[in-house]
Amino acid sequence: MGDLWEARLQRGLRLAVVVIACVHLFALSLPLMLAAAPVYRSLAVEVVAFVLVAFVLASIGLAVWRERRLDRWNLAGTLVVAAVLALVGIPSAYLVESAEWSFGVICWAGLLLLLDHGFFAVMAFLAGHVLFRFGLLEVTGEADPASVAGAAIFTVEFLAYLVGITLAAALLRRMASTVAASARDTERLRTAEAVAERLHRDRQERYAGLDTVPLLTGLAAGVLDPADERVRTRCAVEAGRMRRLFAEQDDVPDPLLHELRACVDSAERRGVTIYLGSCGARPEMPLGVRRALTEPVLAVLATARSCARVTVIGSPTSVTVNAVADGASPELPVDRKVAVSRLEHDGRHWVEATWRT
Amino acid sequence: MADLIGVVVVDDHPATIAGIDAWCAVAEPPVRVIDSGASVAVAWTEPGASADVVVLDLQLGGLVPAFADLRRLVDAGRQVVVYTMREDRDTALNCIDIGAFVFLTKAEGPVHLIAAIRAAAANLPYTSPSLARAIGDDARQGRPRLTQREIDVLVNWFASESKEMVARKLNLSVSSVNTYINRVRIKYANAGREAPTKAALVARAIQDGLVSLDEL
Repeated sequence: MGDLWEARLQRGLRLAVVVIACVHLFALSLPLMLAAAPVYRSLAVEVVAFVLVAFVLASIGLAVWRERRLDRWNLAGTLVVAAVLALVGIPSAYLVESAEWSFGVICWAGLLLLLDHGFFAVMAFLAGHVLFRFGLLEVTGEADPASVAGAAIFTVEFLAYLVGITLAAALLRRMASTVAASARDTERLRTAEAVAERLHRDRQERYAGLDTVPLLTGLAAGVLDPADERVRTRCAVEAGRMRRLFAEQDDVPDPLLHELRACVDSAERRGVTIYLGSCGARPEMPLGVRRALTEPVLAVLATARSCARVTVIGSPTSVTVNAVADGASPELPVDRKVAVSRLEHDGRHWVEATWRT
Repeated sequence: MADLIGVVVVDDHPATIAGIDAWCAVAEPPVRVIDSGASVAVAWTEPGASADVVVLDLQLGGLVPAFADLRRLVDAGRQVVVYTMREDRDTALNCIDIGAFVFLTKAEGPVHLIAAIRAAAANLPYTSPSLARAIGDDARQGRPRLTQREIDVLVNWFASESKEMVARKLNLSVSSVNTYINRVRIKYANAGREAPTKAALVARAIQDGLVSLDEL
């Protein structure tokens, strides 16, 4: 997000500088050059330098407009050639006069080429260019001191613009990276929140119906007496639910039978002989339905004394889970997803839970 | 003692033989285990050859179920109670097709085994819950056609293992529950391969008025 912003702002800045440089070239430099045509050592050399600068600016403008990569170093080379040609073509006496048309546009073009290389790259280029021009002046030593002073003041003023623009670009880059970092932070925070929320919901869904914590708290606090038959039954049901919960995570071809096996497990450990079997193909059931179907089985098994029979009867439109066991009368849970019926005969309890598609 | 039912037990686990021995001894009236052994030979040689009922384990040492032995015994007119570890539907239906009198799994205890031996000795049908399950689950082409009521009774018999409970649940008498279960068994005896024991079972059922000829 921040990167996109920066790219857009940098492009705007560059296009603005290209426009300024072009206006400078054609509205300022061109008239100056034409007016000073007679004084040049060779007008042709100046024209070549002008064309080269125009070419460099056009290439930069095109690249920025189309958002292509700049052929930076070739253009920089061309620019240096243009700068040297332009300065060499002027008799040294005129180097600080209006006949020197190239200084400003070359600075603009150099700025454009090096802007994204940072503040110091631009400064180094500008310093080099200024030193070359005034160095040439020093070597030939034919300039009017007053003109040199005027040119120096003009140069300082002009450079101030360029430095301002370079600083603005650097500032823009820093702001954009701050924006990007803060956007990343916000995004990371939002993702973390979403993940935490999802985890919490998953956990709540998974543990829905578990009564383990109150039970353990009650036992720890001494409110619930392990010698109490009802407390032991609650413990047996919870143990079965926990095992079922673990079984729910497994990837198996027949989840209902797998979960029933888990329910049966804790009763078997108590020494109850259990038969578990199924008959007929079944439609697929969501987790909630499977839980509702296995709940009565847990209740029956929790009170089973010596033997129990758990069977699943499937049909294309319904699934019935039966549990038959001896022992005390089970307390059956109520769940509207399934129809539960019970029958007692000769000390054996038969509970049947049916789900219809 | 002469009218006690005599059985020969073919099973390769001594513990199973000892268990069946014990169950037969305490049954009332007792059932006499004439001979027992790990090979089906005990059922073909005396004294086992004259036993009324053969209790046959399907998994005798080898990996292949002893369907061929079962077929030979049935063809010789022997009443065979298949008593096996295998619980799958196809094994149960296959045994009944071949002509076994009763199919029982070893998860089904002495109540079923003794009752099954007595039924076999008297040419009466006996359907264990495991066989009821296999029949209730039968999806083969050309299977005997059952009524919805018959299926309900069979499935509930499998679920509860108690005919009294099935009767109460479906508002029937216990004898009606028995009738429905037995009629299904007769329909299966009448279907498929010809075997003398199956013919005897059907003949006895017709004689007792359990089914009429035109129902079959």
